[in-house]
Amino acid sequence: MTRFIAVRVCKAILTVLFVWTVVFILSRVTGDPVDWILSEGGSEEAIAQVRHNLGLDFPLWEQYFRAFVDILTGNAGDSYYYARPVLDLFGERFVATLGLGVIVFLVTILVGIPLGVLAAVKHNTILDRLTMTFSIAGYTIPNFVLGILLIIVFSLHLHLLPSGSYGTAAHYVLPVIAMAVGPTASVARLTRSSMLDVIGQDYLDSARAKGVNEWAVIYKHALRNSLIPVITILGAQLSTIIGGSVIVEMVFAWPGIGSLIVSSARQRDFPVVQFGVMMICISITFINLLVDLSYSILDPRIRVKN
Amino acid sequence: MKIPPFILFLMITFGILATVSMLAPVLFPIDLSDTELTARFKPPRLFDPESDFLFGTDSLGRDVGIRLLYATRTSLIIAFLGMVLATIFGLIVGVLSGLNGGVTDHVLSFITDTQLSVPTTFIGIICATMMGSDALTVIIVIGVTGWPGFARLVRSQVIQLKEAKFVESSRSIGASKTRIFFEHILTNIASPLIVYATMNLSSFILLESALSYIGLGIQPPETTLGVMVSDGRNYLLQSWWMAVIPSVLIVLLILQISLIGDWLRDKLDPKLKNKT
Repeated sequence: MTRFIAVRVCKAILTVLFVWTVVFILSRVTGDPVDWILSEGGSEEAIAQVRHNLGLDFPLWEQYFRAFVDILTGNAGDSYYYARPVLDLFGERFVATLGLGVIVFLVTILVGIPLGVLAAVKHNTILDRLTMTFSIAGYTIPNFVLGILLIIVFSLHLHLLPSGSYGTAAHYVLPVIAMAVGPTASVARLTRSSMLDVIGQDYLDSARAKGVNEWAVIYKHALRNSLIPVITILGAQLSTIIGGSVIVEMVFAWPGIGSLIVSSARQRDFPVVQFGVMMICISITFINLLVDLSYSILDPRIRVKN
Repeated sequence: MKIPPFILFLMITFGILATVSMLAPVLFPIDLSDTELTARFKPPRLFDPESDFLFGTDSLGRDVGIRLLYATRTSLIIAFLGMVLATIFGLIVGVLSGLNGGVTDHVLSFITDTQLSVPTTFIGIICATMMGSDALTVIIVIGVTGWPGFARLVRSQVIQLKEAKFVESSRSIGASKTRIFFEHILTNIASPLIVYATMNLSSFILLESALSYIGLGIQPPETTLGVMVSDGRNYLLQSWWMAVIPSVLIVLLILQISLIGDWLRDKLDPKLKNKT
């Protein structure tokens, strides 16, 4: 078990280092960052100052480590566009994005899994068909298109919900729906097929024969065995949710990290983008690590094998 | 091979849409930056029979219908070129990984896994920050985000093929590595590769439109479906069609391509269902 955890942790660290290496190489290969920042050309001193601020006056290998340590310790420099510390910018917007992400993830689990179970239990009935239709629709409609359609219907025509910005609980409804439909659809679809594999097996009949009630048979015996592929895909869905938040935040003018990173990318405000991408990557890797470790709790065989 | 009527219908409609949009510069030669300020916000003919414009006009008085064709054209070309790039990357990595095994395989598989854990939009954001926002960047982003799936598929196929009897006999009569690769391996992975590429084309169209929507793709006056939706976002109340019509087209394109791709997979290569 210790070995299993150690291997996973090492892999996670390697992943973060790898992403950092790619970002670092890309940022040095695609041209001198000073050229983007001082696009009109600047005086000698200005160039030297920018080089110094960026840490470009160190040897390459030292830049690689310095910049990485700086990012990890939150010392990410100043934004060129806002002329403020990058960390402050992220601090102000973090809660808005985290709130949205957590709610969407909860909706994905709490709606997706029961929906999949329902479709599997009522296999080949109208309920099953409806769930699968919803699943295909959720898979096909891009989140920004869904967001715009929701705004037209619920904000502009029915006047029920606000079309953008942030503040009350009502502001959350449309962005959450726009972001959650895709991941919920995938989870429902996978839960259904995974449950269908398990549902015909003999051990469920023997549980029933012992007098276990149907609800417990489905939720305790069948679901637990079909959860592993679902949990695998939850890790991937998380990355979809975080990636989607960038776009949905733009649709709903949500003052979060995603819209900050996008507007910074448009301004080519490199310190903000670099810090944002690394933070997102580190959090996704960390959560994937937790997902990996949670398999071993669900399925003891994995613990032994590794 | 019998094609079900519904799939045939999808193929024909997609074919027409693709052909007409590719021919847009010939059929409707316009300058995309031309504006006609006297004809702003004219509704589509369906809602106002007086209107001269089948799909209405936008905030600068430009015909939404004609722009839609140009937009579809650009979106399709970018997604297709990106797909080609992703296929080439994936093929190279998958073949290297599958044929060599050992350390190469471990390293390449690790890179593939890592790449899959970074959200595609963020890869797009990094590339746009460093290379600027234009068509080439989007094509590269699609190539860079798309290859891991292809690499996994090719790797698993190559591993199976290199143990196959016909490859072994070819090797035993002294065929060179290059010859085995081109004659046996490449010809045998071509079919699943094409199916997989078709299935993924829809997700590349989606990625392209999402990047253009957030302003990190094609820049005006050039247009794609995502740019059109983004233009319409500011005028939802007075001229909803500016955003809704391109949105519907994006959904239709994605639906058509993914349903055709699914059908192709089930027909040509049912094994693929479990592999990807």
